[in-house]
Amino acid sequence: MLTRAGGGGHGFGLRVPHYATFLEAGVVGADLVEVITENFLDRGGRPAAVLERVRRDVPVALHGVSLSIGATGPLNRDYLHRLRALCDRIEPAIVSDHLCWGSFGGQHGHDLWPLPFCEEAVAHVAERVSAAQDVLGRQILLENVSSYVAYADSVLPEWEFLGEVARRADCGLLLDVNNVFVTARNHDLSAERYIDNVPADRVGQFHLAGHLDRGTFLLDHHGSAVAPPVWRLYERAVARFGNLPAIVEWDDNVPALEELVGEAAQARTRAARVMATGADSTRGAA
Amino acid sequence: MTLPDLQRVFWQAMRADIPPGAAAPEFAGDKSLPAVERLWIYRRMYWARQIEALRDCFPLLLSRLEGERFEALARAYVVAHPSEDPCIERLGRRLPEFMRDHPDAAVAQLADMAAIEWALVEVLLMEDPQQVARGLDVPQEVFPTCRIEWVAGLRLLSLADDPFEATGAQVGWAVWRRKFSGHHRRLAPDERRAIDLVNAGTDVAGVCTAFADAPDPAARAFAVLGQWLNNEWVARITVPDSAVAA
Repeated sequence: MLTRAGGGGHGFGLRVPHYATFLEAGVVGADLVEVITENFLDRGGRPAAVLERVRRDVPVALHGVSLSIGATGPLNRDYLHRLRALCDRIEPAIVSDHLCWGSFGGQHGHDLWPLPFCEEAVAHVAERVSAAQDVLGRQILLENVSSYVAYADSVLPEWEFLGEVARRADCGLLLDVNNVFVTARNHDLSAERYIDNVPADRVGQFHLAGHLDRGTFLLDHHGSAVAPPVWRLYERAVARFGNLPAIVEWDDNVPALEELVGEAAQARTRAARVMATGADSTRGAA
Repeated sequence: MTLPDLQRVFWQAMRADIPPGAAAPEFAGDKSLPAVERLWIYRRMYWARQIEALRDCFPLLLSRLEGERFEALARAYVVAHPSEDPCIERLGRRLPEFMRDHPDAAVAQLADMAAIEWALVEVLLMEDPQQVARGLDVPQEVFPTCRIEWVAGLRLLSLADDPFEATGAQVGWAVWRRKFSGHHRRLAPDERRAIDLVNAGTDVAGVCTAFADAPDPAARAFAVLGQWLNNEWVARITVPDSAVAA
């Protein structure tokens, strides 16, 4: 059973161009702030100072990119112990990473590579998630990644794969709505069907971000505002999963803080509207 | 194909050990975007991300080598030394060493500059020191018998030459973090000798012999020690047990 973070709220990812503002003025326009875990592991100096300042103001979500939970090499226990130490220090509201793999033979690709959706992968990942949660002493959320290629060996729909891993490992899911949209387009799937079939009791957080249309595929580049169809999909997700914590991610061409605050405010407003009007009325709108 | 085999094939296609076409039968695509093209998306992103990480860590090197030569160096380096750390900033750990043996003399000549840039990355990634000495908080009479301990974040490099202003001679270089920013500077020959003595565990009186050739050795020694303290290089100045007992 998923234990959801208390408080909920809407915020954005903390990025380097905004460190100075946060250090001087603290957090504005966010109910929670998400940070990339690897940027704060064993760090002192400015990263540590800004994280402590942010944590004083709002709850923090730790979002990793290098756990590589789906890799077939040994689980990186050193990384997990360092993450545990960071968790003990800042007491994050949420700890998450990606349902993917990104390393091979002890070497890191620093990318989020998809897994085949099959029983072998479900069993493999679920066992590793359980081991990771044992080290961390808490549940984690795993995010669905954007994908550009599928495996010939995949036999399950992606949502079923996500749900089965979460059920067996007793972890949560971080539903990245933009990733759902990008993946659906890239594999000629229905994004709405995807949202409607992810197990509702496992989703603990949303992500929103921008993508780039490259003609033959959509690229999840986190370099622009959330696109209108992704906002509509988000409303559908809120209707189905509730007003969960939601983070706007923006990594390339990071805009002025005001624009990020505006995106988080839009997420807050849209979620409130969905919750006020009731789930059923938004179902057919996406 | 088993999961480990699939991941090996995918990894090889990313690293350019095999062409994506050789891995394509294990993957699915469609008419508008065949599997091989889809694998190329990942492969381009893999290399772009590695090269970007090195660009971020070595801006001076990038400016000296300019675009294409830097990219060629970065690719060759990543082929030889794939990332071994979950934090991508640590990818460049062995680049200075890799450059020293590079067949292109112009690249090899820049190895010392890369060493300074990498040391800057390292000091910025370090945890805060647990202790920093702010002043000479020891009794004057025992000071000559004290020993100096550096903070862990101080990097002392020995370079083949000054990478910014060639002298034709070996130089010592210090790289450190003070509060939030990284700094580096060349060490004067007497200061370098003094640092070597500190590293050898010599007491303050012994360290001061490094300044014997200065016009005013005592003034020079205090000036250098003051600079070390001001730059937050010194973790502590320890009084020997014998002096405490006395």
